[in-house]
Amino acid sequence: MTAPVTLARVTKRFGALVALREIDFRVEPGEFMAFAGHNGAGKTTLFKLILGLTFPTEGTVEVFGKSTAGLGSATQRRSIGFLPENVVFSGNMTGLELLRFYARLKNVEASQCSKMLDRVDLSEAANRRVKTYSKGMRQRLGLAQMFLGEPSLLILDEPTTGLDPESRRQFRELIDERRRAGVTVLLSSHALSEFEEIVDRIAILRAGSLVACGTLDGLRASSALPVTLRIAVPSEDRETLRKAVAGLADMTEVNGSKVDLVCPPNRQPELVRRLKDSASSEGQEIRLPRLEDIYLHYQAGARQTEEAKR
Amino acid sequence: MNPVLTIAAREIREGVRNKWVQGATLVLFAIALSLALLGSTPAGTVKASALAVIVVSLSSLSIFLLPLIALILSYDGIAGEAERGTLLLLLSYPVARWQIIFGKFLGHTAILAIATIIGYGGVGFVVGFTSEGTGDAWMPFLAMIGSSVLLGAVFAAIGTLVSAFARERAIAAGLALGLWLFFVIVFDMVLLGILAGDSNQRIGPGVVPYLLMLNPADIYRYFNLTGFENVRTFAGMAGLGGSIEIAPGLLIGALFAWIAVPLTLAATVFRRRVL
Repeated sequence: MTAPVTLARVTKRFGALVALREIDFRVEPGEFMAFAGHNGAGKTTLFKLILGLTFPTEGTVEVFGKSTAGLGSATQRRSIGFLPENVVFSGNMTGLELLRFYARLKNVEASQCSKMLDRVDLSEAANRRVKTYSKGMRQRLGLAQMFLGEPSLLILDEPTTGLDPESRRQFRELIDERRRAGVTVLLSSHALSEFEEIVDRIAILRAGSLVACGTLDGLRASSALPVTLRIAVPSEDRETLRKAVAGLADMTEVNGSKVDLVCPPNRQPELVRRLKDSASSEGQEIRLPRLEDIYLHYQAGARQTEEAKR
Repeated sequence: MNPVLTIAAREIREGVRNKWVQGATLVLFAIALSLALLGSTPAGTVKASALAVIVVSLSSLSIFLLPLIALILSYDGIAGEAERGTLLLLLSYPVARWQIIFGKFLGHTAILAIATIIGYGGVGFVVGFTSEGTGDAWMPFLAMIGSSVLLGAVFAAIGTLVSAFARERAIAAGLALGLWLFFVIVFDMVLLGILAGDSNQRIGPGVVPYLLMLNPADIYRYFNLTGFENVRTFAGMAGLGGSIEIAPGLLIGALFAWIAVPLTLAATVFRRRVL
């Protein structure tokens, strides 16, 4: 099966500015890939390249095995759904009218529109003008247009920015549903932990370079970020515990009843074994580094490299 | 449905709901009606038909208002979508960039045509059937409506060019307003100033009508005030029209050129635009 997206040594320059530098990656069918990076790291430019809205200065971008130079071709575009960042739909149209407009452009039957509105839970607001919609409703309308024609590749640029927690969850569930249906998803987000459980791979961009790319477990291992064990220990037993884990983990007090033991990931099994011997501990809770921690780790690493170069 | 028509249909729907467009059209109709009713009063004394009087007064009104409405509709076309983030979305669909330009232009022109035909046509009916001796003025009147639609289309094309060119919506609005002032007011004043200052008559009288071709608003005026004998008499253009004549067909051709050139430029600018 052809890879939905392949980038080979892609560099994009805008005059003197290097927006993307020698990017290489391949997205497999059905994969959910998240792109993380600071503002201006090149995420949006990357998406524009994949959509064929702009072309690489060097290297090649292929979508469904074909160069994006041919993306004007209707068939290729019909298999892609896109939700740009901060999209504000024209307020004077109703949700249904707007969706019908996009359906016509994609040659999708008008009857699909109400089905899509139903999927994103907007059926009741279908005949209301978009200017009366809340931010969450507008983003869901954005999802509905993206789902038109059941594309096999979805691209979402910062889709959850500015949404309240409830809308975020609803949004994530809708994306996850597509992912389970076998659709390939590319998504950029600031709120990384939100998609932690459903992403297959994470690509971390910094100043146009891909500083890390891999599965959550893979990135965890290669980052070698410490693992935290949170356990309940009565205060009188704490000194004994400190001695027991000495040289293996650092102990910090969280509150009156709990302490954190921080150790390198490879020494976690040993720590767990030693804790078994000490009867004083209970209520163990292992806290692995979160996506956000990994992201910050790689960003800091890249920053150090940049500074060393100067 | 063809993408051009799909986009045009959406522009029509949105334009009709646009409060600015509604307001400007209402003003246009109100002024046209009052001009028609008040302007027909002297018709009996100067022996000009009521409809011919209206052609003169309405075309003078159109020169100011139609370009304004057209620019209000069109300046936002591309620049507004870019600012709202919907332009990227639209371009991710199977639509070519020139189709977006033409679709928007077509939609805006359709709104202008509907407003002009209903507004002016309505006024024409009121006057035409309430006064006598209008028979020979119907042709100039219909020609006035037709050329008004063309004038609107010219400025819709100019507005589309401005919209494709400007990086921000506010800049597009400013540019559109500036162009309106230039074509509707400044151009004639400058031309008049040059002619008045040209005491040695280095600019021959035969050249002036061709200088007017540089301004679509003047082409429109020239066409409506000199195109037909009965109107020309009333417009006080008999002398001018007689000595230096440009065929009405050529004038209409010039208006079409004023649509084609900005529109082609808009498509070119938009195609090259870095997103």
